[in-house]
Amino acid sequence: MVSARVVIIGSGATGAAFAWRAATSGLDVTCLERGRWALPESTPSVSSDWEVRRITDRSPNPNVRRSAADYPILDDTSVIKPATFNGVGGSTVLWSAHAPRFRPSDFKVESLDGVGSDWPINYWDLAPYYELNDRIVGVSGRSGDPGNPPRTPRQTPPVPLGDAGTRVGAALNRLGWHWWPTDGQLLTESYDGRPACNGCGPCEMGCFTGARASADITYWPKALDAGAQLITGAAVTRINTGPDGLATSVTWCDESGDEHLTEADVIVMAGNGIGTPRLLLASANPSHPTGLANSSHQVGKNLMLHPIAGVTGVWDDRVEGWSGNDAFCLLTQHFYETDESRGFARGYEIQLTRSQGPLLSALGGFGMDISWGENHHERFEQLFGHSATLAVTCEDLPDARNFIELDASATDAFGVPAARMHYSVEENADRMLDHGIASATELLREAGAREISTTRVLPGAGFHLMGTARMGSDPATSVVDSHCRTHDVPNLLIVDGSVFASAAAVNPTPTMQAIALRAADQLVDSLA
Amino acid sequence: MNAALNSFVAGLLPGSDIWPSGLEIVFDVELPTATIEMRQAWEEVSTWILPPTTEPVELQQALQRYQASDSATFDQGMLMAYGCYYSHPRVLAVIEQRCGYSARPPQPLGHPVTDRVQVHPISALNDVRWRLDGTAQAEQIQQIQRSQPAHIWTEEEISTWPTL
Ligand SMILES: Cc1cc2nc3c(=O)[nH]c(=O)nc-3n(C[C@H](O)[C@H](O)[C@H](O)COP(=O)(O)OP(=O)(O)OC[C@H]3O[C@@H](n4cnc5c(N)ncnc54)[C@H](O)[C@@H]3O)c2cc1C
Repeated sequence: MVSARVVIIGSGATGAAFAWRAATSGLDVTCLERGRWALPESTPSVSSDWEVRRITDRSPNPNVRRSAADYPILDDTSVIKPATFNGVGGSTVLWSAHAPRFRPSDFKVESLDGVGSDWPINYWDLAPYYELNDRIVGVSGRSGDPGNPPRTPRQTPPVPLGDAGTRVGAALNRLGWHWWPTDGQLLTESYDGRPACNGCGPCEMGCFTGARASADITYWPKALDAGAQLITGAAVTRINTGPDGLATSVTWCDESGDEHLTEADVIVMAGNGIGTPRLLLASANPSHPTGLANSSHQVGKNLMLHPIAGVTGVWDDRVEGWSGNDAFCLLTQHFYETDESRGFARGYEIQLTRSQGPLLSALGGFGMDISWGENHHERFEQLFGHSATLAVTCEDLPDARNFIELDASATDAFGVPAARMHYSVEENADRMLDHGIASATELLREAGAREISTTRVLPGAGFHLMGTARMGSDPATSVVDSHCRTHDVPNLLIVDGSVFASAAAVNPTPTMQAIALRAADQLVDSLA
Repeated sequence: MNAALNSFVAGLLPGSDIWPSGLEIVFDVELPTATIEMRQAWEEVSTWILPPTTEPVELQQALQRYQASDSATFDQGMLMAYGCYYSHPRVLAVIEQRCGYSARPPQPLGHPVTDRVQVHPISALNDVRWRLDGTAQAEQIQQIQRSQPAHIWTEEEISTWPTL
């Protein structure tokens, strides 16, 4: 048995996975989380104003929600706005739980396609950890997709395709395009003490029943059982280093503003692709003048978000778009890999999402044209329950114009400067968006949609936060090594999406969790 | 009641034989979680110069002008009005009757998918199509996947894959 005091900053998808794995291996684990527990019973999906709350105090955008645990993220320099949650379970409290995996080529974009940079690890290194993660969180889906490497049988069957899904699936068959029922961290049968999903719709408000996985109900109970400690309402304001340059402790403030110091042998950052670079930059000191672990000047750089287009189809008859979980049921990866004739490198996936509730439909949903005034209700009846949206998720490449920096014009309650988000869609992804929108339009037409409307880049979709402390073998161009140890401060680890060297074109959380689990095992091995 | 807000709401949601007008609904509802931006917009709209509801054509034109000149306030004001309207039981009852939607909060009953017609992904079934990454591992696994498409993989087998 090894022993070390490990402090984890952030209790979200990755902090929780790391805490569980490290605590089960006997490490002395303390996690500091700036937010509180968000109890599933407190989700507003039981109240009649649920749709209003979805865009007000339960908004995924911290700048709209403005809860006490949130820190400012200045976003007027970004075309895509942040979507996060600060509390136990992190952003998985509000996530949609669509859980595809990266593909092998995603780790080798430079050697295969001459863009971005390769990871120092590959798919095969992560495969066992994807499996382990799936078993802990419970994944619905169907194994056997020939478009991806093999995986074990899924914990529960896939989510039902429903009316729109059946139409789109049949259309994909007619077009001869790859598709598959998608993996989701959302149960369709009871598993590990959690119930099956009852298809209520808005996963992004939090899950009332616990059918949809979130780190507070999957990893945390197990981590606490294994002896991990979790301190909530603990906002870390800086990571301190000693004369040898190693990290020694963290300074944090409780909710009343009192300052505390916790010493550690190993410090693990799991604050997400914005929270992590923010704290590293705010922890600059005379030995690390540009911020902690930042001799490469890559901390905060290479922000990748996945520009997502929403292409909505409207059918003459009802497709009962309000039934079922709203964000996924099937996906096509037909256009996932590079085909030079398309005019861009890498590719995109298309996933089917269902429609919105009455209020969001009345406001136009994803780009539907619905006027106010005399014809409003007639139009509402044509659209509500008649529509479904294809989300085109594009890989974006690291770009010097896209980054996180500190901006002292605003601070959180404890004086730590705001994060400022700089993001515009880079040229490759811009061309990809055109292609993806054309493909999605063709698919919807084939599926019988009468009317099609497009939102080129969904502005609220800033939930896949990647690249801001990237992994690599060269300390001059990357922040962490293949074990998630920072090159500059070897007892400081980063295990969240910040370490992604490339973004792939799929939702990233299972990959983040697999990386965090693997990093915990490697830490234990290195201490043994 | 503020005349400008009255006109604003009536212009957005005039109602019909079937649908109640905004005026019958919106001022009945409190939105305790409305954002600062929504509240500020509401205040701002109350200062707009708008024709009365008895002049619907002029009202529509005036609203169109405000929408063009101050779209942020217009949109947030609309959010407030629609937020009240579309969470009111009378409106939800009409939606239920007209659209076949069970107009209740998502939980605790949910909206299970009733149409379980399923299609199978035929186009992909015989075609192993993920791209090799240049590793020997990938070649090996793809070969097995091709030769034994029905093989059920176990976690133990997969744990022998790592290369580093
Ligand atoms: C609406 C929405 C939908 C999404 N849908 C999907 C999806 O379908 N599929 C998918 O793969 N991903 C999805 N995501 C993204 C997914 O939630 C994230 O990728 C994932 O949660 C990231 O994990 P993390 O551990 O890096 O960070 P988070 O889960 O964001 O957790 C970070 C935690 O760190 C804490 N923290 C930060 N700074 C400090 C500090 N200084 N001191 C103390 N604590 C701190 C925060 O409070 C937070 O709790 C979605 C996200 C949102 C918001």
